[in-house]
Amino acid sequence: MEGVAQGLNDKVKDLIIRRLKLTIDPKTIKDDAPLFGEGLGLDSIDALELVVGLEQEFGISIPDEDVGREAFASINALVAYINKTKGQV
Amino acid sequence: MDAGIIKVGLEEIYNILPHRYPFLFIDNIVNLVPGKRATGLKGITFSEDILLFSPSLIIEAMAQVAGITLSYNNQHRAGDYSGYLIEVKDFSFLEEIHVGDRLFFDIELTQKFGNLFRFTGKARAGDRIIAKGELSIAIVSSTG
Repeated sequence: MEGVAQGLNDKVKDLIIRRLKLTIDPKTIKDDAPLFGEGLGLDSIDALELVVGLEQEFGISIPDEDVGREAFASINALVAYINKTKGQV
Repeated sequence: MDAGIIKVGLEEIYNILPHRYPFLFIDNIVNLVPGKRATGLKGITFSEDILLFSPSLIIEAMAQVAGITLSYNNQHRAGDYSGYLIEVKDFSFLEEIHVGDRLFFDIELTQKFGNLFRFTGKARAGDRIIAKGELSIAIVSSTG
């Protein structure tokens, strides 16, 4: 199960790097580091792009900023949100 | 057949957008679905300096149509809220504009997140696609 979970973490990192055209090694993204501000240093426009990417590639909707704040807290938080939302389908 | 089609004239555009001549690039809105999509029209006249209507102004015109779409019929009125063009993405400029063209700007909301709104946009003159791409608008309270 750990392998599956890490696989999803890697897919999310790949999505972030691809959609935001980041030029970093996915291995440098820490699973528990903040995505916005400190950490990866993403901004609100990046958030909009991630919302689009998650919807198109994972079928996951982030309906509002409050949900986004929770889901975009870190890679681990985003993966947990994806799992939770997929589980509700 | 026109029932339900919302048209917005220049006078009403003045009430929605803060933009004024020479930086208002929409003559009227010919088809509006508030909050979702709209088509704006600008006629390119002989007296207009065609060279000044650069690709960046095509994008600005689309942003103005997007602003009207977001502001029409809701709380985002000029004075209380400001709209900012914050992102331009994957734009292509395919054809030149000519004097006499009636430029239609089609925009459609594709994603909303908080106060950020992303649209697809297309500028066309007759069956010529002049430009197409994506743009995002942020709506920010002017009153703090």
